[in-house]
Amino acid sequence: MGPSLTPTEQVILNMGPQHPSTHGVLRLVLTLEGEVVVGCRPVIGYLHRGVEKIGEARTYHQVIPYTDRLDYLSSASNNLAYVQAVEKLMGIEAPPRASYLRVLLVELNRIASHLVFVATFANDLAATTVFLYAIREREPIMDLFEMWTGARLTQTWMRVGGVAQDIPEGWVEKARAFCAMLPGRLDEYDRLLTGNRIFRIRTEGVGILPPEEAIDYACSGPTLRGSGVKYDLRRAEPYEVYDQLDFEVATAPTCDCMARYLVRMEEMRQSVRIIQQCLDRLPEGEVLAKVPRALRPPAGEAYGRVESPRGDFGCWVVSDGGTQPARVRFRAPSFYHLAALPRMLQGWKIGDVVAILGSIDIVLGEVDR
Amino acid sequence: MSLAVGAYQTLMTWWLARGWFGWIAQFIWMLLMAAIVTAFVLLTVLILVWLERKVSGDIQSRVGPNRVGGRFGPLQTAADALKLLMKEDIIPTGADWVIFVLAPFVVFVPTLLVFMVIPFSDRWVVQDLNLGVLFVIAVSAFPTIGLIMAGWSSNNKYAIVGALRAAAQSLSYEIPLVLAMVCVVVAAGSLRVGDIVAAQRGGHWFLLRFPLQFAFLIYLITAMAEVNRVPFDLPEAESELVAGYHCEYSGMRFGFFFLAEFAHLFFVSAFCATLFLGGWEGPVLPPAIWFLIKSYAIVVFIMWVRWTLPRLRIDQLMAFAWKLLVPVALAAVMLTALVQLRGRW
Amino acid sequence: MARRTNLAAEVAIGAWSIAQGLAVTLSNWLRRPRVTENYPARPAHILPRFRGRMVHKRDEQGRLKCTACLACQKACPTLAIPLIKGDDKKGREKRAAAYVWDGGRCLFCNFCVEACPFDAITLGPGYSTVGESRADTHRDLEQLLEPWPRPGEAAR
Repeated sequence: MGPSLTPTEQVILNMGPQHPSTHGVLRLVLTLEGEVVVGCRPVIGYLHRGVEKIGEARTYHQVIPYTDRLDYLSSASNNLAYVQAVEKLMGIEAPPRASYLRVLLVELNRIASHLVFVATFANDLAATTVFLYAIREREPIMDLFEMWTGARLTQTWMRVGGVAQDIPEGWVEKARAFCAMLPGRLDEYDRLLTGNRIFRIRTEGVGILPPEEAIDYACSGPTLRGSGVKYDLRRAEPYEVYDQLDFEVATAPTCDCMARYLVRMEEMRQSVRIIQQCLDRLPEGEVLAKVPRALRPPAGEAYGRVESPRGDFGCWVVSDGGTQPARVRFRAPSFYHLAALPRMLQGWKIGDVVAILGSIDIVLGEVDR
Repeated sequence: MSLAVGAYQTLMTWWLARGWFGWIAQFIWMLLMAAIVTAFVLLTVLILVWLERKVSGDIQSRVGPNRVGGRFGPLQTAADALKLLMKEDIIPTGADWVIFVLAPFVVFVPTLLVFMVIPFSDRWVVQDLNLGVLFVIAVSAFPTIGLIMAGWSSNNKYAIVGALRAAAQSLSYEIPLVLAMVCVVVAAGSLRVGDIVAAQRGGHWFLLRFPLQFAFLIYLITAMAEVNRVPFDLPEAESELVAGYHCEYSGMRFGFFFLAEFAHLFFVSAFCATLFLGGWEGPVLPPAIWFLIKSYAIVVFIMWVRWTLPRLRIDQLMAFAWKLLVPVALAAVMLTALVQLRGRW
Repeated sequence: MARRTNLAAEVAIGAWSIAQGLAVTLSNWLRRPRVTENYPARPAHILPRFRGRMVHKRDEQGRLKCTACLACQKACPTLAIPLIKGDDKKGREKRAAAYVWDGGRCLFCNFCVEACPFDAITLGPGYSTVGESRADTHRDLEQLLEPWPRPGEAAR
């Protein structure tokens, strides 16, 4: 192939920190040839708040509200990872009722987070109506949270040794009503989005991430399962009462945006199953174990892992025997997915950038911490 | 109304009899017509913007505007227009000032101009040109130049990408649009819009006549593409390009693009009603009311589609136009011609 | 020939899927009630355990419950209780004389409420912590004892 007659040059397009579709303050510096993306450099740090450094200057108990604000769309998962790490250090186990309540909270958070995913993904592809429908479906979940914990988004309801308070009267009925309502609405989204020809040609075959590369980039959660790898922490290393619950791990073999979207839709249905089982089996008992007022774990380190809606969220706590941790480090799944983004964008057009970025569902709160 | 026309005609006759410059009277008449049409279009745009917000609210389980001017918020658009007028007029550094300022007008004026040939009722049409349909096709192509001017002069990469997309899309969808109109022209036997409406008298709408249903569908789809509405709103793809070709425009300049989009929307709906649904025809109610009912029905349908479907990517959009719509439109034209010939034998 | 039938099938499937989508939007169009809350014409619906503005409580005799023991200040992760001063009484009679809560820093995490041994504070239903300056977001003891909303005032 000889030199082209028309000189062309690569254009650098900045999808700046302020952009309707970057899901937070993310800056993507795209190198384009015409409409095709040949390079991408994500610039992060716009939401850095120094949570890990703050953690070293707070008591073990006081770190919990900060963990809420990492992956703010599913704050209970972050709480759980940290609290599990501290419980491992101190050798405390939460009572059975607390375990079930924790699973309830985490699964409701999972549904809420996936609904936000569906909403923003649809909005990026200009199906604005689905955005509003998903947010409308999220309101009953927020009401459930408010009824139980008093807060709609950042509940801060996990404690070392259990949960802060028990569920009030009437909560179980409301939760069951919600579980009965949701699958029908998910079917509506299927008819509006999943089966829709335009949505399918926008997402099928777009943003392929082969399974080997997904594993190389340390992807986890729906991003990994959308590439056909059946790995879910709730099954691989069960925590709380997940080993006693009956649910499927959703995977999809096609490795594209549609696969990741389908995995999350199916996960919502499985979460409804889990919630219904928890509501049926909720045992009586306390919700908080006997824990000393001032937490002073022995020196050592522990790592708590949970399957958050984004993937493998981990928290590494190092204790030096004092009342404040020596080091708190969070392993955020979105960080690694963002590292895989340039690979996934290679060769696709500008219009696909938004679809692919939406399909890996990052939250800048946990990327930047 | 007829009283006013009668009075004017008497005045005209008296004036011409005096031998004074008759062209002055003609000129004043033209200005009057232009003012009336402009006022009608602007009022319609006001209503359409409100309607869009109400329809989208209804589809999305929420209430649209419900504060300004009463429970249904009818004056919301007026408030928005006032707000736009009061905004700072920003012209970006490095922008081509002359083209930047001219672009909104190049987009808006042709959209007003095409209203010349639409019959609003059996007696109200500004000028029923012999080449009405051709006139519409020719003038409808103008706003595209305005979009390109806007995108280029903004000195902004997002804008230029939007402008080029707009050009590609407009040109591609022009062809099936014209072919769909040709189907109607073949069926009516004339380019004159008045003749097309007359051919549908007595309830024989072209929509009911085989094979014009294909032309109707193609017209609707390409009309949505011409107006840059979802699923074809790539040039102003909000979530990708932050408003594309008009992202550097602020205040009333942006207002002009907005106005032009809705005026164009009403025009394609009104034209669709005229070509396929019989125009101002209808029992019992006055013709002008029927015209409005049919036009607004098409408008509401287009809005309904807009709030349901996702957006097509640029290459998919072009493939759809060239690989699907053009062949189908050509086939529809041939079929219409065949059916027409058969009817004559 | 196979290609052409494929195209026709694809077009038919595509058109059907779009029609299904339109049917879903239509059914939602006709669905009532609307989910919009007419705030602020009507106050926002708050559930009982909602964690909003801090409220100090009085006991049955009408005395302030807070004894200025500083447990809440120590428990707070963000130093949102900058000032607590007790009065001169000793022992059981001691009560708080000055108390400042910083609504701008507060995370509404409920740790202060859980730490208080006298059940003297709670995070109440006040969801508006706005002010026109940073000082406005600080609330002193008098403001913290006010019921919310103030009788006769709209909740906002």
